[in-house]
Amino acid sequence: MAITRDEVAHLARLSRLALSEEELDTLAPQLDVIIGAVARVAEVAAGDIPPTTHAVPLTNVFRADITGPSLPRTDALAGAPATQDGRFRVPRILDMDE
Amino acid sequence: MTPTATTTATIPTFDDAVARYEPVIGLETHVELGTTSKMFCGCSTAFGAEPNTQVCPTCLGLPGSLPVVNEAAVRFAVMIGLALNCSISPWCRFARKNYFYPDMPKNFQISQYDEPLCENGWLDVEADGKIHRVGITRVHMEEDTGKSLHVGGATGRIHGATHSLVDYNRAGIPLVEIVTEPDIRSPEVARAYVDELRELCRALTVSDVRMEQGSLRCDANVSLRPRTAPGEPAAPYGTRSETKNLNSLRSVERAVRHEIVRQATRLDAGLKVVQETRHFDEASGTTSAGRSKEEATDYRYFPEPDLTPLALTHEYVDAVRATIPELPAQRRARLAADHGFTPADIVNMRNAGVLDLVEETVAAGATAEAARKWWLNELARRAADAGVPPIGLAIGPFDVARITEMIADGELTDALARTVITGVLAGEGTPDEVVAGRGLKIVSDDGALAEAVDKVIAAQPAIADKVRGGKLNAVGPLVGAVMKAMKGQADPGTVRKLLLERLGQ
Amino acid sequence: MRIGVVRELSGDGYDIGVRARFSDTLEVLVGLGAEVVEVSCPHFTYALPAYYLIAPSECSSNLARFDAMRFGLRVGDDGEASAEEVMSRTRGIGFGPEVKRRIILGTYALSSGYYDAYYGQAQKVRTLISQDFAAAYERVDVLVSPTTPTVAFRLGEKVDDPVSMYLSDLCTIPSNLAGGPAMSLPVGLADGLPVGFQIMAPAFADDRLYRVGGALEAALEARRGRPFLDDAPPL
Ligand SMILES: [Zn+2]
Repeated sequence: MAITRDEVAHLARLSRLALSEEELDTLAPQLDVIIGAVARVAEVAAGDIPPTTHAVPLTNVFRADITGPSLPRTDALAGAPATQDGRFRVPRILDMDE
Repeated sequence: MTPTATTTATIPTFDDAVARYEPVIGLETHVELGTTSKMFCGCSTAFGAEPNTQVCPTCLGLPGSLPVVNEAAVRFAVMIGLALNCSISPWCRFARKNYFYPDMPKNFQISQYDEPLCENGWLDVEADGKIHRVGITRVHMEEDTGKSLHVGGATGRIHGATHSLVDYNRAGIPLVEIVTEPDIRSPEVARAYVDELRELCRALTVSDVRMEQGSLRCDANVSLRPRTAPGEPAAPYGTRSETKNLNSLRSVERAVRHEIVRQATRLDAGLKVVQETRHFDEASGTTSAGRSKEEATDYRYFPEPDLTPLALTHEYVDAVRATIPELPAQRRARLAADHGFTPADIVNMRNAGVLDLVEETVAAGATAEAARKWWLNELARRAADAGVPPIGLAIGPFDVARITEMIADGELTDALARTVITGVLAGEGTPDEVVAGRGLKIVSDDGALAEAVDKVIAAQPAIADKVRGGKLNAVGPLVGAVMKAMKGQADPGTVRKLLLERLGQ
Repeated sequence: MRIGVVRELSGDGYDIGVRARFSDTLEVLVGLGAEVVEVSCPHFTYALPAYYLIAPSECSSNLARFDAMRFGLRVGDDGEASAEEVMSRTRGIGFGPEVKRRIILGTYALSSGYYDAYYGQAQKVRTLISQDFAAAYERVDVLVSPTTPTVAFRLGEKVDDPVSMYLSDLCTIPSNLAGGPAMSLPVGLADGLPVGFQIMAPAFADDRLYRVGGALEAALEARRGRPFLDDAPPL
């Protein structure tokens, strides 16, 4: 097993995904197969090969330090699930018992 | 009985703690760069705007938006790196630091990971009359987060809050994080380092470095290790705590001092120091542990695919180097050499906000001592009375230089000079205009002075006789009377000389 | 025009019908005066695993902004739940199974301890694929292959077999990893379903795609007597 059900549960927490027990049951073996298949990358990529992080070799793409228009606040907040006093209202950041 | 920290351990004094344990301190300082626009978008960075009025799809992390690097932010970071004696990487990338937090729009922070822009520098700081060289591990670029207001708990605390309100105006403002080697050994040096770094950034004009507004903030890593006898190898580093978001020089010093005593208390009691994030409470001067449920952080760094690598050429770096002004340490050395100022003088003038003004006043012709004296005392006081910084006074270096020149030439006394300053501040014109307008010039050799001297001698014959009889000290009241008659517009030395002549002495 | 057939993008895994349409199309190109040669891009067989590390890794990060804080769906904000819980509930309900699978896979591939073995190695494979392309373009102007190894599978047919589903992307992934332009042209039917013909060119040589694609499309339409679009079922 490349990946266990517990590991999937940990990854789900790290990526903020509430998964059902059934989802964990199906995902763990699927991911195990996928990881087994993709692990083939280790066969060819030797140590002296540089990784490619950007396909087109551009560097130093800059913008000048000039201000442009910002969104009107009503637009910025328009898609928000909840707002208050011109701010985005979000649930408590710490759990109740913290 | 097993000793525990709360029941049986005695708390050592700071001096006792550092006598037995050597503090090992490293600082991570975040400096907001004073660019006009944000790091990756054109939103303004101005402080104090209404919440969420300086945001756009990019800095709100809306789907489909892409970042583009602000060249000025890179340039400012290079300036800081060069001023800290770092080498500038010829090629480096941005990286994503992934973690979920409501004040971070994309739930990743664009930062740098294993390829910082600047590395391996140092900064010399003065403390306890000595120079301490603090190694700079790295200077890297990143973006700031939004700001949360916590509602429903006690006085805005995150603990116990029912919800939070987020303002993303600050999200995406360019930051540099400056990381030191664990070279610092005392709270005083920690404070002096932050102070020197702040002065450095101010001299470079790359940040307004206002700690109270959060544009410079500091995290302190503190650990203790037992002191070893001279000649013995040093003990390995102890476990460190990281105290976050110290927002004044005083807090840096107090927090480090508190951590040293707290950790010594634990070690004395046979307890371990826990590696954790701590928060400093200004009111109590103590630190407390951060989140109880902190999960093992796995930031899953990877190179930012949406930004091209930085490949700064020698030409670019040299051009930036050419724009670096005189740095605080160089300036202190020059001020000492050219003007004879002591380090204490310089600190006093800097803290009073008059150092630049003194220099300009000297450049305008004043002696260093006179410029220092007038700005540091009289003018700093006038500024404080008016509630403005000295540079905001309606009197400038040229005026002050002229006034000190008139004093040196015997045309004004200190008291008269103060009146001239009042006139200039009141908008009555230049010092010469005020002197003319108020008729303040010292009268030294015309008939009016001779006449006043004669009148005073005639009016006070008893004293005049004493002086004639050789009691030269008795002339004092006569000098005062002449000065009064002249409304202060005479040089006391000249008056004394004239009186003594008239009285045959 | 020299046209290179990628040896690694053909063979047993490819439907007979797909192979037949591909061969027909090559003949049309030869008829138009193109010189067709076979080229080998040995690392293309590693493109699929590399892609299924890189894309999920970046997706896991790109999709993190869908967190119920600033826009969109919010689930489970009952006044008690923390932001973390609301984020997790919303993302758990809002994302479909393939998205969740990729987020978990990407989170795994980027985790400390696994980064070098997975994401880091995949980025090296990407370099090898770019090198294969560069060597091939020394010899030919464009590369061609089927667009997919098979014709379309039925909706829902492979949801429980993601690896087999991912194989459909085999031919199009190399260009995506190397950042070059590519075009898919409909060239006929197999088992009553459309077959695509892929043309690939070096970065910034997009014009070659249009030259080859335009000529091919005109020739195929002339042969059929009508555009392919006319055969599409009504919407
Ligand atoms: Zn913006």
